[in-house]
Amino acid sequence: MLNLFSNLRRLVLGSFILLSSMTMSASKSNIHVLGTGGTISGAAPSPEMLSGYESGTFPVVELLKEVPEVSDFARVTSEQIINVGSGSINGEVLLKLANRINKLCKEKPEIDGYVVTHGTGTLEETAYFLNLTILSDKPVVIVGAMRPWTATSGDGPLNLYNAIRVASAPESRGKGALIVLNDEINSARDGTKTDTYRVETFNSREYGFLGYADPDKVVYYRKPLKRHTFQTEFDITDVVSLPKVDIVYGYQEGSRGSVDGLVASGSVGIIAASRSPDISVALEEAQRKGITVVRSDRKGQGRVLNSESRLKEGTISSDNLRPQKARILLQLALTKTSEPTEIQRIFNQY
Amino acid sequence: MISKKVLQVFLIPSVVLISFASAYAGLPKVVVLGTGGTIQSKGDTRMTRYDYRAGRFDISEIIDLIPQVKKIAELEAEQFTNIGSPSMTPDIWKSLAERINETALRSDVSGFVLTHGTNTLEETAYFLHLTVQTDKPVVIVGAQRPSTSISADGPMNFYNAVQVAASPEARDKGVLICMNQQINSAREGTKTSAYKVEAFQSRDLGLLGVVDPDGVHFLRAPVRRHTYLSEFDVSDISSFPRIDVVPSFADAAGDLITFLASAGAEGIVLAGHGAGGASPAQGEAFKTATSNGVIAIACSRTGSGRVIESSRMLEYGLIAGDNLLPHKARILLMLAIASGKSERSELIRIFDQY
Repeated sequence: MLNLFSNLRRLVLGSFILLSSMTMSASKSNIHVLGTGGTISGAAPSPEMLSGYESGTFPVVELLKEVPEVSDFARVTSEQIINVGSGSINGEVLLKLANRINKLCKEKPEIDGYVVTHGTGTLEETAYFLNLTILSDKPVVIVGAMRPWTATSGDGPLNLYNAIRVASAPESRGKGALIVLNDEINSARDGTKTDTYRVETFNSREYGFLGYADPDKVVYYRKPLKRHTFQTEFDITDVVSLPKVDIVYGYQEGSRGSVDGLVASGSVGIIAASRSPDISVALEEAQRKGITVVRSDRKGQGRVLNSESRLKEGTISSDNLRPQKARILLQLALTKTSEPTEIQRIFNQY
Repeated sequence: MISKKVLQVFLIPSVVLISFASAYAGLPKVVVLGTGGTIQSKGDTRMTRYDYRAGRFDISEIIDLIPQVKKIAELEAEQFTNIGSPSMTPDIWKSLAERINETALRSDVSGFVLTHGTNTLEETAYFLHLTVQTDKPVVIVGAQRPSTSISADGPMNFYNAVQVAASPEARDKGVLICMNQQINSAREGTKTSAYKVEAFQSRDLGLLGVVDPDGVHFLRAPVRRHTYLSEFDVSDISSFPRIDVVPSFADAAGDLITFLASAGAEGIVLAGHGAGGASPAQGEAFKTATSNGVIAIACSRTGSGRVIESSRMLEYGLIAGDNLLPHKARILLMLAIASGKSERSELIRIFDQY
């Protein structure tokens, strides 16, 4: 808040540009970009086409060539982890990505921040996974685009530029993994995709943005309070694979079939995105077979409360985590324990 | 903190049980200062939800509407003033801040709750956010329906406000606005609806936390300077400068600005279109006013987003108001000028830090 950087900025009144060129020539930040694919890497046959494109076409190194302005403030390196649509991201990729960033944090202290390009469909899940597993306070920024790289008025180039700015900003340290699209900085925990096509798709519902990547500077108004990154207890170095956790969806007359099917196919955890009477019965039976059940909700915001009696029976509540985020946390929790009170503690803290 | 949260989960949904638990440990003391507003208002019938003029409750009567609050905190209540929020003044703000500052020194006091009318609640909240020199919770609460109304929101809002003020998690978060089970920061929290109970929001930046049936939960902390981190000391201030707010719109004339400058306004906040925009006529009027020593701040009428200094603002003599709403920028400017900080460079720093 009263750090040297902002004090310095105040002294050089109004002349942001002067300051930028000063600090930048003095010390550019080192940013490493890891590409995973998605719409931001997508190619459509024609610039007006906002659908019908191929996700994960361009390698990340090609995207970076089209945003040369980042060299004003950052030295950027990159690597390709995978190049797919976000629907194809799986536990193997998550572990590879997180392990890679953790390794670089250890071995290359000169890297100041990380950017991950990602498809938007499941971006929030990868972001939350990194929020829970990166053992560093260095900025980790996940970025995507709603329009393919080839689109006219594509949002990808500015989003990528802003993501590198946010990763370079000293103010971004210690704030957990960050989602940056549309000039807005969301916490990885609460940020969620809320629209199928619009560029302002990511928001944190009632918890709002942490800050902005505005034309003049990166600015924060909030910091997240739940445990994340350098405060996490999840060390995935030795985790070979993530446990199979699935989500069932509740609705009027929701049948128990989906629960029974998951039990039969070997799920060790089930997240209930709301329930029906039949689903509840099936979940109770699953629980008695040793499957961990977490009650979440399909509504999009608000907490699910637990009770002593329900916890005694083994049911865990997801706090205000969306079902897809509760799934990530349960996967990580199950790598450590299957004790319900312990898992509930984890859901209360992260 | 951790073990307490786990404990709370065990006791759900029995807030009452938790209350009893803390009663054994000695209840936290919360000082309640009543200032009036809809929460303390009476309507003629229980269907009266606007134009209620049947008098006001004393703060002790509000507590009597929800006596269970005494199980979660020991209350020390006082009717500080009993007015509608349009009648609030900087002098009352100052005496409120002084009272809180002096009371906060008492080690037996855990936190504060202020009742307030909702219309200017956010202004009082931001003033206190900038001038209260304690990290103890200061919670401002109001209601959208008079406390005589059917489904009145006031009693639960009041109960929740006391919960927040008594909560250790609420410390060091600046002044808080608590209504509708939601906790907003005083800096961004703003009334967004004339009658609905979810009126207070922080737009883009969201809530700091919630008061759910199982207790108080914070997910965010504000990062701008506030309360005990603030440089503003009301005890050094003898009078407040006149600061006015001027709206911009298509083809707005400049005469309002010229008039306010001649009427003694030391500062004028522009509620600009877009990112702090003024009409050409307003721009000319600002040029004259600022060259005569009036301080002008550019804010936005859009309700969210920052105002960044532009070459046109420099030409007009305007200082960028960041993302403060115009009526909040007015409070910050008022305190800055009253504290003798009217240099352009100082004001730019202040609007960047608070």
